[in-house]
Amino acid sequence: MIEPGDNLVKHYRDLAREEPPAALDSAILAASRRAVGRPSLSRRWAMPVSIAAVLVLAFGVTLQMQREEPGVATSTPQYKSVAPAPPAAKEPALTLDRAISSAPPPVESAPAPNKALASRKRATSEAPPAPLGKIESEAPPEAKRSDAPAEAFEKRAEPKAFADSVAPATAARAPAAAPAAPAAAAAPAPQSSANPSDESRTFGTRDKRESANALQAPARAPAALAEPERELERIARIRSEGRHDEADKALAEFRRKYPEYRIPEAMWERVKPR
Amino acid sequence: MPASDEQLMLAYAGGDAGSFDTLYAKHKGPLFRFVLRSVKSRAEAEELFQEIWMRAIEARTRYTPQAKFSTWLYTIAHHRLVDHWRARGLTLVSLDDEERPVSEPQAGPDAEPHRNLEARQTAERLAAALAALPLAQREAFLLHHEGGLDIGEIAAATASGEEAAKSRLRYATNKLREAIGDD
Repeated sequence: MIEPGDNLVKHYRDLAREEPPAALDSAILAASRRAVGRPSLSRRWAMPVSIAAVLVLAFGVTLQMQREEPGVATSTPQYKSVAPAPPAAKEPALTLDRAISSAPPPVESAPAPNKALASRKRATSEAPPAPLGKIESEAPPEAKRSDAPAEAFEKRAEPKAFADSVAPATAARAPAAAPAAPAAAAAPAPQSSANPSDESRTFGTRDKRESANALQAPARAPAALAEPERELERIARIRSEGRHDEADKALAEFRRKYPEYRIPEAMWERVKPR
Repeated sequence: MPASDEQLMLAYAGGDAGSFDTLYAKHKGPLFRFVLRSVKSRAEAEELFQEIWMRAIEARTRYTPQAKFSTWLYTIAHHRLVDHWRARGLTLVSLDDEERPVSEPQAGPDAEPHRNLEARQTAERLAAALAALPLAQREAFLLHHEGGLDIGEIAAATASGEEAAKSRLRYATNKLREAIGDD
């Protein structure tokens, strides 16, 4: 083949050594930095502040729950002044505190609230952070909530309902919160959960049967083949329906998504721009 | 010990922008010349060059160091060039056809003026012969001499067999030697 001292190599090296222009360098480097850019200051602090706020709220609610007196059927005069609204009704925390302090001590079902509280605290800590604005402006929410702990920042309990049914409410919230927590924890999925890389499989396989003049799609695991080929089929269908603009955009997006994927000739004829 | 290209790319995929700067500085020249000598004009080359790097940036999270970084990068470049050639009516089968006419040799205004006449003429003949090679042969030659890829890596980057890559490189080398009188 070609040896290091080869005349051809020497003459090739002597050719003008073209380089890209500086402006192009700058544009590419800037794009590379934007792609992995650091988030803004507010975004960086949003998560820690949100988590801290959730913990403070959970602690506050726990304290209130421990002071509550569930299981007492008598309703106190203070509650009658409050409108019997659905759980979403808002009440000042001060009113609730007075109601709690005046209620008789709890009779039973202490383990259930504690267990529910523990599971809800776990769920709360895993919940996605509420927007900063809501956390700062709202007082500690009331106990009765319908769904995920994140909704605690938006709803207040009905005091009457709170006094009457704390234990069942917290027990009901625990199962409701627990499924929501895994869902919430799963929500910020890593961006880089990559598909099995077409490029990596390309490197590992070579098609021995290919002729010298033909290019074929490299062999891949069946799971990795499915997605790009499905997308190409979709583009081919769009193209056949005469929606060329849409097909062109889809093809450009496909190329961005799978830059190393080799489109077979037959498929290219079906998807290529007209 | 300096980090390898593969380590730098993984670091960049993990968010280290400085690693990309190092990779870019090392590979920008060879990749640019590879693209420049594969198309007809510098404007086209600059546009394709930027697109190739953009695709590499977007694909950073899918990069796995199963093969060399350069092979991965030039695979992206190859695909982009194939799309470019297809858009101009070239089918993949024709990439190995006999010489295709090209508008002008790549070495010209950029050649160093102080070189003696003979050396300049040799360089010009070489540039013209390189530009006249069939696309697949020229690509194999450039992948080897600019990208530093060996036969196996050329085959992987172009999704061709090793025998095809070897013969394309051999044909290209022979024609270029003939052009500069180095038979």
